[in-house]
Amino acid sequence: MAGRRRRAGSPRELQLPSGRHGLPRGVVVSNQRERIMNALVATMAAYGYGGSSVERIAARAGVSRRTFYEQFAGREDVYLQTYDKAVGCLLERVGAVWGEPGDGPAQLRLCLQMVLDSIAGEPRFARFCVVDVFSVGAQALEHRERHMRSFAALLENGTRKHNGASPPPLAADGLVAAIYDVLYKRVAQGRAEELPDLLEDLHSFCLMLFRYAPVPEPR
Amino acid sequence: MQHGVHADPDMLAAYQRSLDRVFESSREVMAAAPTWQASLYQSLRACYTEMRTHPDALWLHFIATAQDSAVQRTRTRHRDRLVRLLHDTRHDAPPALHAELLLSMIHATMRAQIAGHETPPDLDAAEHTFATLLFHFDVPPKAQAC
Repeated sequence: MAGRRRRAGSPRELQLPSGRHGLPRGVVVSNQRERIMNALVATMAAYGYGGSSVERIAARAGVSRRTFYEQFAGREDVYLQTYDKAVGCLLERVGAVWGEPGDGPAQLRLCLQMVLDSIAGEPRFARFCVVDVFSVGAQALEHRERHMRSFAALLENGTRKHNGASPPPLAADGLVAAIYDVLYKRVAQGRAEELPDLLEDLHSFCLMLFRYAPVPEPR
Repeated sequence: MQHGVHADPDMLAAYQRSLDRVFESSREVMAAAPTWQASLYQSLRACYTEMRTHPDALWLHFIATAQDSAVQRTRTRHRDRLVRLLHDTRHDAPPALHAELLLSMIHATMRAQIAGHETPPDLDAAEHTFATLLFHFDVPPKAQAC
């Protein structure tokens, strides 16, 4: 490999020097895992999930098949762990905003901005998480459902904190699913960079959760 | 009925025909309704009636759409043309993004109700969901460009 330039952003950029380097085993393992995860994102962007074989992912990450299987059970396992890490990180940041004292509608705006900017700023990762999840399999869809429920729970708690009352059943879940639809369409069409422009309209729509006035069931 | 995750081409074609019928009937009712909310209500009512009489289409529209990107794309195209129709026929239409979100939100709520029960909700229950989301959430109107 000596003398060959590594592509910017390539998982191999993270590669540690070969041979004796004296780094603790934990650092090496963590570096290998990160390279494999980044390699899956890059490989899926180029070949889709179907074309992302373990050989391809391992080659891109600069690890052997043996090392790959020491770290992950297979490519689905890599996908699920990468997906959970990325979405979990966004959930944590959104949760931190709701956890602070403040004005509910303003916090909601900040959370939406965070989501839109994150997706627009990382289009390849956005496609990996928002669109490609449908091609991975039933387990990935279960993880997606679970994360969507977590976002809805944050929204419910934020509304309750602001209004002193919960939004109607399924409203927060419906809203999260609707936002997902909006994201999905733009990301699938390669228009992720347009997402931050939707902030004001999206925010004014989502404020409905704070304005909802319950009505009695008919009959 | 056991369904796989992916719809076959015949099922997709039948689903598209169902959506086309919903669109044609929406074209008739949207302009005549007194408000944009009422026009969407009529369109949703036509959609749910069509889906209930075609169980495969109902399954694709509400369940498989979260598992199959071909179904998802078909449903998204249908939603987009309904939003355009609303804009083309109603001077009081809400911003396009609001209509898009509202339709998605109603769809997701119906999906949750269908997925959680052995039989899909009857038309009365569905109408209650449409009415709650269309008439009792206060989405502020916005001046339209056209």
